[in-house]
Amino acid sequence: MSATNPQAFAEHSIALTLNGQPRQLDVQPWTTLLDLLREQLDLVGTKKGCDHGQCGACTVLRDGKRINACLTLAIMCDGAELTTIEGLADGDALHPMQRAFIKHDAFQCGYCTPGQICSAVGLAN
Amino acid sequence: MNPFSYSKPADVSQAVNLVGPASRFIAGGTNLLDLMKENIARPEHLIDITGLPLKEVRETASGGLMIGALVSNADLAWHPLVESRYPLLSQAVLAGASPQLRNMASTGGNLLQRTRCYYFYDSTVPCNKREPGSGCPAKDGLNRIHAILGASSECVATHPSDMCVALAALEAVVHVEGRAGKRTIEFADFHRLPADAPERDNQLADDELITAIELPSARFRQHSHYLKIRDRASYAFALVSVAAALELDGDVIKDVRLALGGVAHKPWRDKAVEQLLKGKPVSRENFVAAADAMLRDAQPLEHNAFKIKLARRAIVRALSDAAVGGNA
Ligand SMILES: Cc1cc2nc3c(=O)[nH]c(=O)nc-3n(C[C@H](O)[C@H](O)[C@H](O)COP(=O)(O)OP(=O)(O)OC[C@H]3O[C@@H](n4cnc5c(N)ncnc54)[C@H](O)[C@@H]3O)c2cc1C
Ligand code: SF4
Ligand code: FES
Repeated sequence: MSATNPQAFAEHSIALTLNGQPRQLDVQPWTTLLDLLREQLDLVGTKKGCDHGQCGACTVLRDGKRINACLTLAIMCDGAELTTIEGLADGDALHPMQRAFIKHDAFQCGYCTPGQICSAVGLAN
Repeated sequence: MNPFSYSKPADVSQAVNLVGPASRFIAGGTNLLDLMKENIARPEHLIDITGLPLKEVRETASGGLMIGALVSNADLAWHPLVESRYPLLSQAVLAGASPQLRNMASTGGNLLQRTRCYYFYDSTVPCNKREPGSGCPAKDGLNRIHAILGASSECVATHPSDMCVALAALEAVVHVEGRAGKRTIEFADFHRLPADAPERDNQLADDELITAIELPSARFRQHSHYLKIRDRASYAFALVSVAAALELDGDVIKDVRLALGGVAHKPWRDKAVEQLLKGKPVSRENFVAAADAMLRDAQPLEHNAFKIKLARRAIVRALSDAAVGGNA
């Protein structure tokens, strides 16, 4: 376990449920959930704004609750159930919150809309 | 972020035995990861404590509450026993951060978020807290958000927590466990004033883990109020905050607690001021006298003299709201 032992920096294997799918993933301890989603899994709906917990653009749902993916280590999501903006719709049927955002024209530039929708779903949960 | 190794112990003794020179515990990660991304914290090993069995809120034999260190800020604020018996604590927690952060942040981690200021985050300037002996640019720099009480020539930063201001008022007790065993620390003694060692925010030893926060039985549920004054109405740290709690016998103050946030290196409480109010009737005059006494030793810096006036008014308002049952 010593940090001077290069073995200790090895990737760890984690298992989680992502948007309803069970996933087995190898992650470095220092990879954030946000970077895992965007860089490793190409789920780029979740946005990086401030990367410091200040803006909410990176909001996803962990076990139904809204969290900031930028201040969460991927490795600490072992066993978790995660939902990102990509996982809200049921096939072609948008989530009621997505429909409500469209119906009420609740966008500004749109960049943080995925985070806002996930946050609103977390609030409603 | 620098590379680090990782382990996830299953019990407390395993966790404290994993502590090494460059290791850190991680709970919600909302303060530690923020500092690691800025290269201000550079642990070589993270001990993930989220697998420890410290997630319960339970009643104690003496009628108080034992809150596990890993209870999230959100679960704490919305817990039925906390909401009904310690509304001051619920209010304070909900006044802090954002819903996302409160879902992540832990009770123990909230106590241990760094006492800090923006210069602490800026590694291009000196800071005694970050690099002992390097100097404090805030003292003669931009110091609008800094301390008016208990500061030293070494550091004028404030403790940013809202939750801790309520815990100070409620006389919580911190339960910790290290390699040498268990001990408890009175809340008033837990955090430090900067004095000549601003790099140390609190009394916790490196190998010690906070296991729980204990609240004594509730006496202030009828009459308490947390007032947070900030630059905008949501999602900002306090410029000044006040936790006020009264136990009344008709119009007479039987007991009172008063703690301030945003004004010092730790939640600020002064028992002599509370003593001044005991046995007195609820009145604006008495509250103003208490506020003046609380701020008698306040020392403004160049840009934060407004905090003295603000704190004075906030104390009077919080006590007045508490007196009329202000848990709104
Ligand atoms: C944008 C933003 C805004 C914020 N606004 C506010 C606000 O308005 N009011 C407010 O009060 N707070 C605010 N916060 C701070 C937030 O409340 C704290 O970051 C949070 O409570 C820390 O808890 P954590 O579990 O995430 O700690 P972590 O980041 O996991 O840990 C913090 C420190 O505590 C240590 N630690 C954690 N748990 C234990 C334990 N049980 N025993 C021993 N050591 C431990 C860690 O080693 C680390 O040093 C804000 C934070 C952010 C990012
Ligand atoms: S006030 Fe404290 S934290 Fe801020 S720059 Fe000075 S020494 Fe550093
Ligand atoms: S990217 Fe801004 S809060 Fe996470």
